[in-house]
Amino acid sequence: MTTLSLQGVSKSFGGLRALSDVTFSVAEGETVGIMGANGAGKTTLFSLIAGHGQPTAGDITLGERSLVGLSPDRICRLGIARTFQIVRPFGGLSVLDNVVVAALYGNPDRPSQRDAEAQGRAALAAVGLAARADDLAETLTLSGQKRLEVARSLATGARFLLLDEVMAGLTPPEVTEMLGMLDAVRTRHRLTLLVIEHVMKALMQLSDRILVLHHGELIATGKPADIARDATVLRVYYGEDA
Amino acid sequence: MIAAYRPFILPAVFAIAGLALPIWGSNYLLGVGFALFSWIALVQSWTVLSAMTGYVSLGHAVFYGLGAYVVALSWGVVPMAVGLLLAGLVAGVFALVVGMPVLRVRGPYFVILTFGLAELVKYLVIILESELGSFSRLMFGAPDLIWLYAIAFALAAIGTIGAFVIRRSRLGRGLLALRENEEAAETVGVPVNRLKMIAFALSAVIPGIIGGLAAMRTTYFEPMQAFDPTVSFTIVTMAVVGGSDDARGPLLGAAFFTLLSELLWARLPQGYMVVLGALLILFVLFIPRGLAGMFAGRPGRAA
Repeated sequence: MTTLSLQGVSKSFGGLRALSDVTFSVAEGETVGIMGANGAGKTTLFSLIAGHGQPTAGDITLGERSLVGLSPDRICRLGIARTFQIVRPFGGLSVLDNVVVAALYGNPDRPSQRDAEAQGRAALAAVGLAARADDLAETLTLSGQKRLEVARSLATGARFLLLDEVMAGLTPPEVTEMLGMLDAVRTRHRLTLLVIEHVMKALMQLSDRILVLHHGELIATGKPADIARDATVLRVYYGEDA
Repeated sequence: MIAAYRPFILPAVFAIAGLALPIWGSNYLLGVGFALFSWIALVQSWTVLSAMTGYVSLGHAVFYGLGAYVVALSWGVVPMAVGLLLAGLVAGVFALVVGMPVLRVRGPYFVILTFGLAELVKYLVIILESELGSFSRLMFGAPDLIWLYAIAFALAAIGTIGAFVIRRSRLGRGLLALRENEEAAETVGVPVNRLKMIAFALSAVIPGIIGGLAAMRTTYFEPMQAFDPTVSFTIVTMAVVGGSDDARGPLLGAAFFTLLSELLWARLPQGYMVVLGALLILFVLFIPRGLAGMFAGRPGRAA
């Protein structure tokens, strides 16, 4: 049983405090949603976990091992993969090549090219992109590129996935489809998910537990139903009088 | 079935022509062949860095010049073969040393930095040479043209096959991914800094040896000529005009400009540079995938 833990994590950009003393842990197999307004520090949190930037204070551990100071590619091989809020496909490569490179380099057991291709195709099938394998990634729609982000992190073989607004900008039917897909893959691969999402209904439906960030501070944590009733959260989200 | 062989037709034509040339060709043709295969080797090496990672080097003359300098310095001290290997080694090691800082900047900054670096090294060598009291080094007893030709041909073959193989290898897939988006590549496990360094070093070794060969061909070493930035410009132009998306582009680009230079050099030497510049602009604007791209059709679609 591996646990991802943050202990007292803070991050400042000059005078701006993006995260203050954030402490929580995520158990294997759990899906944890992260809520918070724009600028609350959600994406910064993901960046720190994934190795893009170092915390100003505090520690991030996966099992016994501290992730602070490790490069992003190293952290990926330890089993944590992230997607980007603003999609970053390898646009000039085929959809298949996008995931094959993830399988080749993301797996610590260094699969052969043939195995990596099989893993890549499986990841594409899991997100419903198998038919687009030979097309250039830049020809996919936004919904397709969001799914490609998920497929690419799946293909790395990582068990901890950090999903940064994979449903933002999608139409309601596409959101439903994405939810179904995420639910299926997390069961099949026994994934642990950390999910940042503004589509509240989707987040409530998907998460076992929800964390609420506000101005870089963790102000609430609890089951989705409780969070929906939490006075602090309501005040922060809907204003003082709510 | 035919389609599977198609990518190999053009390289095969070059290989056969290259092998046949010494049998029937005059010394003049052998000289042209030497130039052609040298350029092919240079451009193929350049594509390993610049086409596969998107870091466009405008400073490959530095490796060429260093190789020439190493051969000149080691002339008569070590056997020629050792001198040539040393030239490649020094160029590769130099790439590793400067790669760490240089590969931190992308886009136009990298282009300018590599160009500046090559000029800097050129003037350092000029200062060093004048301190040593030597203004150009003559190399007596250089091997016959046929030997130089054979080595250039072999390097062109290694460069072409190498670029073809690397592109499809684990390394090549990592390089293409980081070309598209470095941060995303890192996130899926690609050790981008290490791969960039490897590509930079690999792209420097053959140019180092070719520089050494070129010094043997002219039988003297003179820094202004060995580190001539025209070498860098020509490599980039050949790659752009030929296309650098697959290993056939550099063959076409190198052949086109080598022949053009033979036709124009004697009659109007300045005209060659004008044509070079004009074609560069034309291709960048209208045919970005080069001659090879014009024939290859669109990627990602079955024929």
